[in-house]
Amino acid sequence: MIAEDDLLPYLRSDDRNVQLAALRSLKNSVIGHSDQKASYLDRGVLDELLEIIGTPEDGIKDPISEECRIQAGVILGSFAYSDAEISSRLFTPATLSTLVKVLNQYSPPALLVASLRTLTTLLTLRLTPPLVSQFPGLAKSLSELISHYSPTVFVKYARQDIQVLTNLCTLVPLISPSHSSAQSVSSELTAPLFDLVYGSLQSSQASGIYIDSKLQSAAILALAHCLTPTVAQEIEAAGPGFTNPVLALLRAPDTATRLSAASLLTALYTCGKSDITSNTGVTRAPQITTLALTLVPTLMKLLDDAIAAGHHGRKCDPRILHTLAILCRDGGEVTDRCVEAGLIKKIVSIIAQLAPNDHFTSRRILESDGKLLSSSLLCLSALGLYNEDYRKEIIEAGALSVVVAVMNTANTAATREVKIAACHVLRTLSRSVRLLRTTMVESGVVCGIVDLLGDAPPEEERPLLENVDTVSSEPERMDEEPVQTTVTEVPTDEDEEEEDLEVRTAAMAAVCNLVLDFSPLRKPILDKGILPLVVSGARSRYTPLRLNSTWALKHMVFGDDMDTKACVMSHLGFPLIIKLCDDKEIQVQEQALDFLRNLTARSETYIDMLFDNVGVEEVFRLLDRKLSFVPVPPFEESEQELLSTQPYYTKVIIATAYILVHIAAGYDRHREIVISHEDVLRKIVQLMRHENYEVRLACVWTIINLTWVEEPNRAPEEVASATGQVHPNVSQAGAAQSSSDIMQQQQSISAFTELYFADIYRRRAMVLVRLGAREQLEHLKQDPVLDVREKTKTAIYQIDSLVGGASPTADVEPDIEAGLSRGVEVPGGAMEIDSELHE
Amino acid sequence: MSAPTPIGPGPNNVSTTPKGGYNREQWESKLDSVKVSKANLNALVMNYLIIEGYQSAALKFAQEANISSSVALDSIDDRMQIRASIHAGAIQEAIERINDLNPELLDTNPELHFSLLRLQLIELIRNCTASPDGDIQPVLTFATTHLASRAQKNPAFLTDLERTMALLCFPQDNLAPQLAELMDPSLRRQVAARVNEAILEAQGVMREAKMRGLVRLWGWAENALRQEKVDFPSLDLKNIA
Repeated sequence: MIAEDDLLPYLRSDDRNVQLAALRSLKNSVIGHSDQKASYLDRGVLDELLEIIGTPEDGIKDPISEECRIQAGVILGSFAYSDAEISSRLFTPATLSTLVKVLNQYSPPALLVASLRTLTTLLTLRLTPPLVSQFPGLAKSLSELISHYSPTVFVKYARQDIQVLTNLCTLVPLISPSHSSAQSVSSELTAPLFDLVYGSLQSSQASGIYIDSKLQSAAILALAHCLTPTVAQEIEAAGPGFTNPVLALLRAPDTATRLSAASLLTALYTCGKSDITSNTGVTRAPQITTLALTLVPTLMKLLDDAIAAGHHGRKCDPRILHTLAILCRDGGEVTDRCVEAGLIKKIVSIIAQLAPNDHFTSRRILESDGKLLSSSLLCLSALGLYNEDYRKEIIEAGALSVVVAVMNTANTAATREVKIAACHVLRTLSRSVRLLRTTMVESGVVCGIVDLLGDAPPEEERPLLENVDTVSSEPERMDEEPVQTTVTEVPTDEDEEEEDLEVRTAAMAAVCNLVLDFSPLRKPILDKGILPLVVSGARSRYTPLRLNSTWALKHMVFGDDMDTKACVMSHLGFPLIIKLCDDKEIQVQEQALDFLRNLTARSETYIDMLFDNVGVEEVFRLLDRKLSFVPVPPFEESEQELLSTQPYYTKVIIATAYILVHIAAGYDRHREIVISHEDVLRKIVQLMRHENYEVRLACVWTIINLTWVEEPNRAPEEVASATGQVHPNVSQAGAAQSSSDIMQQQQSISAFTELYFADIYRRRAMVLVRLGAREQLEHLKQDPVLDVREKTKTAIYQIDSLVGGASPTADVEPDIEAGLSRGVEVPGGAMEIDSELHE
Repeated sequence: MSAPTPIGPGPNNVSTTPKGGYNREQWESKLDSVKVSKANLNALVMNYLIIEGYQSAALKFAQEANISSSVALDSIDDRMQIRASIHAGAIQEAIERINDLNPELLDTNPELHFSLLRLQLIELIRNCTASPDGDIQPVLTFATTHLASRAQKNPAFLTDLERTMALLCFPQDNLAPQLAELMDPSLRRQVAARVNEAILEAQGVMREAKMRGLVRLWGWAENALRQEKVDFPSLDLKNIA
């Protein structure tokens, strides 16, 4: 026996037996003794241990040196199980890489168990950048190990095999904590995990009594973690042979198994089946909803038990709330049942247990309980996503002060996940117009959000309209990036970690609704200099960030605030927005087109600016391209499933059609430009048979605006050009003549002008009739949607009065007011944002 | 041949309940009609043997019943050795065995570690007070280095430690009942049982044999029947043994 005080020199001994004895003594003196651990770490024991663990196997198996590696691995594990101060000293690149290197099938199982445990403990204690991004081969190593140990485990039930597998499975979610990283390991890991889970389900059914519940629940949770829609569909297709035993596990005696089963079924529920998203939530097949409903009681019971245990100092398992969040984020009946069961209040009480009085100033809470806190917030955000009453309940339960407290803590890697979750809550709450105008204004969220988006941009005031001119003087630079004006400190994602991008994405999602024109927070946020950050986000190569940023830009140009529009365009520039219209991601395209739709609404200035910068032909080529996004089936064919399967494609068409509506609502020369592009108009006429009523409605609006007769908003120079044709010298001549002459002359000019325009109007109507619009409108008189029918009456009335053919049908006393509104009443894209809830 | 009777009270069962309940013969035939598979019975027995720690019996049974799931059989022996060490008062040895078997157990379970260390302290006190000129120093050193700092952080530990140290002040043959408890071998058995449960739980095995749960379930069902005023011969545990 070696005396405890001087073990270190013996660790370096060349005699393996001496080394082993020293390691054993060291192990027994540190396990459970944190003072000893601190003292040994001070004396540099970590390097010694890492060196022993990392000793490569040199061909011949030497049991003693192998045992030394095992013991050193165990000791390292014991250091990991300490208070935060000690375990945080283990977070070194050397520790992580040594441990990862051990993970191969040639390492002795006991060393594997020890190393896996150490990794698991360290990663549970603190949220770090996903290990998979630091060690790209890690997922493959884990996959090989799982495949290596799985086949015999349910035959032999060797304890060590079970331990290796259990720890491997536990590690899977920890190396890929974020949604995107989980998807990235999926291809490597789902197959071996599925085999393992399937094997354990079969074995527990066969033996009836005994299963290793820890292995089973860890494997099920790991599978649930990296499930992708493709795998989910495969499992669903495999039939009840797999899902029924998992359902049975919802009644398992131990909580971990029940939780894992609920988690896997939730993942299957949300991944499976294509769905229809609407303002009230996501609609799924009834049997899937029934499946989800059966999970609610199981999860609520788990949560109640966890809260009760929380009073005795035991922390709630964050995965319960995480699973509930996924289950509830689609709205609908499942969410209703959860709220009825008091979920909102329960979550708030859990947060209160963690940090009484929103006391988040100590980073420790955000770090050590980050996972639980972020799951709690994610669950709140999911509950309120589609329901105003629940948002109100969330506010009344006092959650906003928690969010604000979280948002205003310092940015560190460890607080990242909590902040993302807080952004999601903000985004949910900002969907409520009422809350946006009241509670949120006083909450002080602005600074926190802008900080999250990046370094504060320079304070310097920029003159608004001057920059517009600078940008618009660059009409040719279509494919190049817009001129970077004065901004300097804008983050680029060249060398940015994906995790930072996720934070910015979440913050951008929260910004989206806060910058709508009726939001009192719009001005404070813009004053904080957020625009350069949003524009840089729209340029990001990270798709979710690009999507949310484009979305935020769209909301900024929503409404009639010309100053804001000018300010946005001064930073953004047309080349970038046109580039986004052709983004490889369809949802980004939708947002970019919606941006143009909002920009051109009630704004001749921006219609002109669009034409001047991009070029008329280029604009119409773009519109043409987008309107023909999905081949419209010939009229005779009623089969239009093709369109219904692609909601985003339809949204692109709607956005594009409304750009056309808005251009046609501009000056008369804008209408003239539209009418001269018959290819585009032919598409519009075809789309009047589209199955989506919004598309049909937009098409009818286009017709209405193009056939508008009243002198709606004629630009002075248009009148001048018209009168110029009557009397080229009218302006000079007028000056010399008497007032009565002038009166007379002006009357005759005006009469002539009217004739001149009447001719133009008639010609436009003829073009539309020739393209088949009149015929299509006749069909739309029987449209199932009232609004379409009403607008159709107006359009028919206008065409018929111009063409002078058939007099307006008797029953139509057209709604002139509707015509007067010039088709621009429909705002830009919905104010709700749909981007994925990032886990 | 009668059709297999469904388990649990369905509408059919209710109608066949004889007036006034069941006599022993009816009851037995009712019980016999419930078929339990041999495999389930074997698994039940195996589960009992493993959890209660009867290794050799479990091994023999596994061979005879041809059960392949020799789950955690290899840990039974370790657990029994640990139990034996604690029963014998060889606490240091027990701790080292625990650390060999499951190195994270004591790190993650400070209460359990504390009770083992306190047991170790009690053994030191026992040695010291056994002879009139026993050396008190090892007791004090052990208490200061290993227990004092823990007691500072946890009030429950402090109370336990104070009471244990009080053992030094009183003659062993005339202790107050509270203190006598500490010297009683039953404390070793209590701690040993807790260690056993903790190891089993860490291995993902139920702490308790399935059979015990079934016996309780039987009791619950008997109560439920009595409340329905159904007469029947109740289960006598003596008859089973």
